[in-house]
Amino acid sequence: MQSKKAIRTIVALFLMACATSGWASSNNLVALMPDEGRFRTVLEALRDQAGPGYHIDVIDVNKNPTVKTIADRCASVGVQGLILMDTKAVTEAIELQKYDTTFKALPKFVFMTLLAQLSAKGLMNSAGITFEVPLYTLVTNFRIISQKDFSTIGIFYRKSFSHSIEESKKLLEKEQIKINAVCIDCDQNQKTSVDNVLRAMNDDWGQMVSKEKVEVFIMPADNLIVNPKSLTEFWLGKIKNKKIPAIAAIDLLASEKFEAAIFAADPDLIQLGNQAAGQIAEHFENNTAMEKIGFEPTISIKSTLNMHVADKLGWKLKNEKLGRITTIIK
Amino acid sequence: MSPFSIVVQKALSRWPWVGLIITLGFAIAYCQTQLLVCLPGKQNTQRLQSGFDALLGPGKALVLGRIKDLDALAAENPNAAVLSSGMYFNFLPGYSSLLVGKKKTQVNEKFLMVSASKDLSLKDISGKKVGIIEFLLKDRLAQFVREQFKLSDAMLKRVNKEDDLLTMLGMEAVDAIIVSASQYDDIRSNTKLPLTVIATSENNMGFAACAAKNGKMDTALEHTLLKAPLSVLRELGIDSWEKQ
Repeated sequence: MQSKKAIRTIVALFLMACATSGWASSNNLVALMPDEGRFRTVLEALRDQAGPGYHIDVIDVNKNPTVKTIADRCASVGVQGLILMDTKAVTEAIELQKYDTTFKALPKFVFMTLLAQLSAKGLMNSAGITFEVPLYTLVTNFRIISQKDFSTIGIFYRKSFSHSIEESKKLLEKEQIKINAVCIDCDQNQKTSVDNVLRAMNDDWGQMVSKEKVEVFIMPADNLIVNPKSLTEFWLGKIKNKKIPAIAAIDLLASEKFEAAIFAADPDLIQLGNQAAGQIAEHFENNTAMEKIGFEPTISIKSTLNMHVADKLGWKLKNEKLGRITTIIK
Repeated sequence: MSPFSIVVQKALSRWPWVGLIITLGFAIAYCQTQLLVCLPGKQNTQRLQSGFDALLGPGKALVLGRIKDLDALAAENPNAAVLSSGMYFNFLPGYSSLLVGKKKTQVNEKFLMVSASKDLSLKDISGKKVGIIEFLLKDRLAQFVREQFKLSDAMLKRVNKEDDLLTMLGMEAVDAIIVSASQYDDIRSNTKLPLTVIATSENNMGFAACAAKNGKMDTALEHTLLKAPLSVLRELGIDSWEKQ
């Protein structure tokens, strides 16, 4: 009986030694993320690109772990950095900093989180990649394939996106593209509801087209501006009547099902994982401060072009440039 | 019981043999690979794979998107010829280039460091972020930048798609990018940014090349590659092959 117990102890010690020796030679990170398909895709690409020098443990935030559980797990693996994916993970990390102040100094990488920089405001020592396809990328990639050299684009936006709009204005100005942006909730007296937003968009559309000479509209990834009601009562009709194309930051809108956008772009998740691995390596291998790494935009996209919509609108494309499009719907 | 269920049941009852047959099938397919192709930056690996499948037959060529995958597979598969950028072979001991790609009359070209501002010079780039295609493994890429541009402390931002270089520059995610002269021409046609060449590589770099270990390539493969249609060559970024 005693010999069996001794063997079990030796085996357990051996396994622990194997595990810890592997961890000891690598950088140990803990990823707080929802255990869902697209998050796993990014994590796998990140692991693959980062290589065997990094050991990444995963905690599923969908299972609502307590702060203590997370802290204990981090301690057990000798955590050297946190990977945070999705807003819930960022919130957990902020709580973790309050629970144990030693977590403040720990480097934190924020990926796949909408408005990442804003969400991570309470996080110390953080860097990351913003998840939205930047307006700059969406617009310039569409212009590259368009025969028409358009120079004015229109967008409706919410106050919380003001910073992003101002940044995009500056960047697109260098590409000689002007953004005519209309805020739908900057007037404090106005209550933001789907109907109010629809009314505001209807009021401003005419002026944007006739006076400001908007040539292309952007359908932002904002459910107050693009939703089933606004699609049927606003977007589809306006696009068809005025023959002005819309481009979207959600590929579904260019799908055969919706046929609202002529062109759409989504983050390329594999390349996002590679970009994320680059930031992690920059910190751990080149000792670059997190502040210097900062928050970068998503660089790589997967694009969709809907030729049906292009034909209906009579929008001409540069055939020699279509090789760069990921999916062409014919 | 349907005939399909009977087949499945039989297969399951003899699973070790079925497993062995499947493994052998994969092994045979793997051994058939005569050519490993990797030209990072070209997004269209699927189109390139279809082109080589049509040219050589299915399973004879394997097109890879990342140089680290090529490095691993080349080591495991020493009898396969390797098609990659000319400079890759400077770092692959034992391999000699047998076919080198030509563009018009040229067999090589310079690499350029490009910024989106007329006010920047090479000394301003020191310690800054520089975008580059990952056409060599990480350490070799740093060595390439050090040797060719005399820049040792740049923070290299590596990407796998050519299109992403312009995006990085336009979004001010990098201060400069490194591209080949032919890529630069393409990039210029896609932007209105005031692009400026701030440095040129010390040496010329070869276009796509095909090399084999100890300079021994299957004759039939070489002949077929020499007859590759223009559509495949264009995907490789060249117009024709020159025999070495």
